[in-house]
Amino acid sequence: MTEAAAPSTPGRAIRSPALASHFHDLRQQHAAADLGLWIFLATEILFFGGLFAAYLVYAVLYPDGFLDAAAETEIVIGTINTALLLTSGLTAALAVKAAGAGMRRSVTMLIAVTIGLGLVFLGAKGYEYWLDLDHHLYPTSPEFPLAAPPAKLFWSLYWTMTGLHAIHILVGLGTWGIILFQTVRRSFSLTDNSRIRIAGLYWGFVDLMWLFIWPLLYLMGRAT
Amino acid sequence: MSRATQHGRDGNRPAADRRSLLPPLMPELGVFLALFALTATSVLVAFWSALGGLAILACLAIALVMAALVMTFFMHLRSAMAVMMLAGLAGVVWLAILFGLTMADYLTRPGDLGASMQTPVKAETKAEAAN
Amino acid sequence: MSDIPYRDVDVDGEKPGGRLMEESYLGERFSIWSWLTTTDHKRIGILYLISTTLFFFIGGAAATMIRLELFTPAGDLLTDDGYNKVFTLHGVVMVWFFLVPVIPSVLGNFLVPLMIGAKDLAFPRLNLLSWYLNILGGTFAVWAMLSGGVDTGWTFYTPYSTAFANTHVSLTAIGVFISGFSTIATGVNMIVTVHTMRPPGMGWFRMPLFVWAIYATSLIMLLSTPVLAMVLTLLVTERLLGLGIFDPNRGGDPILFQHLFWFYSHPAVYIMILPGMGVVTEVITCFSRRRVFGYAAMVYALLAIAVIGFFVWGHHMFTSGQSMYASLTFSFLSFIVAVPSAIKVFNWIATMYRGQITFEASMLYAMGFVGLFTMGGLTGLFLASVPVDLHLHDTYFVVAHFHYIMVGGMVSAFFAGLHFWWPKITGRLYPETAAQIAALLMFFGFNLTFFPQYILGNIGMPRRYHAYPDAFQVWHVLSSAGAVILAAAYLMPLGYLVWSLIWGKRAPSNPWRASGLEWQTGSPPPKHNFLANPKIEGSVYDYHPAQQPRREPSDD
Repeated sequence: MTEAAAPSTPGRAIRSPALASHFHDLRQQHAAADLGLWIFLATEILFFGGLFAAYLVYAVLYPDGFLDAAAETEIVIGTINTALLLTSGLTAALAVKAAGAGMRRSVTMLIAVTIGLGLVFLGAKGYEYWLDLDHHLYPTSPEFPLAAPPAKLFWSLYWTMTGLHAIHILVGLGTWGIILFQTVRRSFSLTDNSRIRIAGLYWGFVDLMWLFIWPLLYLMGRAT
Repeated sequence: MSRATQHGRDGNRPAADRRSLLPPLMPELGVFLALFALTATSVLVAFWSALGGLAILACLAIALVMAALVMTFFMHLRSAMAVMMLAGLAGVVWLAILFGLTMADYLTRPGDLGASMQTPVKAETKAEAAN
Repeated sequence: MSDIPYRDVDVDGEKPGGRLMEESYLGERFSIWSWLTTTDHKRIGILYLISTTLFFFIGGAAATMIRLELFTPAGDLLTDDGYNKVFTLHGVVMVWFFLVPVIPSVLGNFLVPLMIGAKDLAFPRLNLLSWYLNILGGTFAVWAMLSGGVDTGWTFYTPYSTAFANTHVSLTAIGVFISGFSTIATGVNMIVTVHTMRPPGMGWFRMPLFVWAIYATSLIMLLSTPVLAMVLTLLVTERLLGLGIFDPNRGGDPILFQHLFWFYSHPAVYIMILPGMGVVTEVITCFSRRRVFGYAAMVYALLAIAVIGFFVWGHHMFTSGQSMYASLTFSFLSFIVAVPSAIKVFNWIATMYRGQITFEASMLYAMGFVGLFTMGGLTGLFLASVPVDLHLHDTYFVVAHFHYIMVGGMVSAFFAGLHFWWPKITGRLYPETAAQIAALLMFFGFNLTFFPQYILGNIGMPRRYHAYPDAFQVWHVLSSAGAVILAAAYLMPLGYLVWSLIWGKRAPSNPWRASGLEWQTGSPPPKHNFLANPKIEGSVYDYHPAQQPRREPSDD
């Protein structure tokens, strides 16, 4: 980015092909893209915030029911998934760094690893869902194992939170997939285009949400 | 940015730099190790029975620290413009408004917590019995 | 992003004469396809104008049926269910597909880049996407309404909407959810544009107040719409997947739905009114030939409304079973939000004071806005007070109150803006007298329609009922009669504005001798907005520079 911001560009004599016509220079364009994504992330915080507000209200109203219900989640898979996401957060952050330095091989590899970790996350999540369904841990099941009615509230929140998070992972993986394809095809400039930084920011956010979902759904109710 | 073509060339970086397999690993790797340590701490705290049901609060506090690390280093908030921090901050502040005013209702309802929520099953059966 | 939507339409092509039509954004490559794939903010503004007009008339048709039904005390035109579906259609379409997008997406899209001297919005393709999402969401909602309808009211209150309603609630909710993405896309675009695309010289406190209003509106859109998206998601998952969050049988609280819903929907009221305030400020300063009174106060008032608007949602829930302490807190906070609103009203009046006021149609609409908004705002204070609200809650008083704000306020402001910038948008002048008559007719028709509803509410007529005791009939007849006049007043602009497109006189670049950058370019503007970099000098509202006579002869 420092490279793009260098003031040595003499007017528009050499326009980067990445520069859209309504922007004055690349620095302005990058600032717009970054700010746009940060604002979008603020909306995402509030999107999940509605769900967390519901969790907060019910956890305060029914602490016992929530502690009991939370003890039924698959903590091992949940914790492994936390580790997977944190690792993918590292590789994504490094990919952004490498892109800023124009290191195409390194970017390709790091994005591929990020995608791999994301896929393993989804695989683990799928296995966990399968176990949950096997244990009748869904609110409409006639054999729902927990007696207290608020347990069903907890499990409704569990499915909604993890489901929406998984959708975000899927969107992120799709984005990374397209970018990986374009990186291999060399169809865009690593330093002039914002897309890797944008995808990295989004992926960081997906990480961030999991950091709160994980304690709320998996670590809750373990100290007995 | 003196680049005439886009394909095949990514700036005027030294050739060795472009060929190396990984960018400089610090500080991201250090942060990553810290995050792992915090994850382990969080699990330990969660199972630590002395805290009981309140363990979740400690875990959430750790999560806040981890989130701050992720934002600062993995999401490069360190080098971002102030207005971007402001955007993120706005999300958090408005979340606080949502939580705060919603809880202002639930925490001040008459009776014990959750008392206002009981479904009036018994009242109904009584009324039916009276009929 | 590397693939650039358009480029290289440049100053080189400039010809001394007749350049306006050739290079205007309207003239270039006229085909349906070029319009449907355009990334020009001006064209997208026009796409929004067409779609919101369509939705306005769909919602208006529903309103017509409501007023016809209420003409007589007996429920004779519509069935009970049919009436529920019609007022739900009216509410959903008007709120999400007309009022929320109309000014930000039509006038905001068209004017924000022009007013700050930028070539386009920051994300042109996202802008186009937002229009398609709006259309997609609207199609879902209208489709749901036509294929059987929804009977929950636009508020979708649980547990009725989750456990009992067997109409197309999910489909409608999905439509609204999709349109939420459209709102967010517009909001992101506006904020980023204002932050990053102002040219040198255009400081924050030199921006026109319309841009400030759109900025404040976008803040609200971005911070509230996601919560609506979540609450609708929870509603749909509860209906379709049985993941009941609000289900009382599990200890769930339907009032939590109301909290989350009004966290969006009360600020949404400000989404609907703030852009109108921006429009009115521009119009009033222009036709009073006066610098706006208290520019900084206007800016802070806009921002204060945007922020405080988030603290007041509980005043919709005084009778819901919310804790009384929360009710009192929300009541107090609701009174506070009246302060910045009042600042704005006083400043408009102070701007007009000793101005050289002329009564062009857009000025008439704007003055109508000030009166009707004040009326709606003051009755809002009645409703913010807990004891009065217990009497008036869910009566026609509430209906009248929010229609004074939404229709009397926002729709008047939209018409004010549409008339004011019509020459800029289309390059044509409309017949002024017809427009003045329409503006007066709208003011008169509006008051006749909605003032009786205040009285109806106060004497006890509940909202959402289609049959009522005979005692209420006289007021309902008055209201329905007013609605006829109002309908005529809405159809008139459709007639003469379309007429002006073909037969109207060509507009000069600054027909009102207004200040502001958008008047420095041609009417209609060239594709990249300005042929030369616009001059940014002096303050925005330099209507009477110190050394010059106040009304200099026009040199167009």
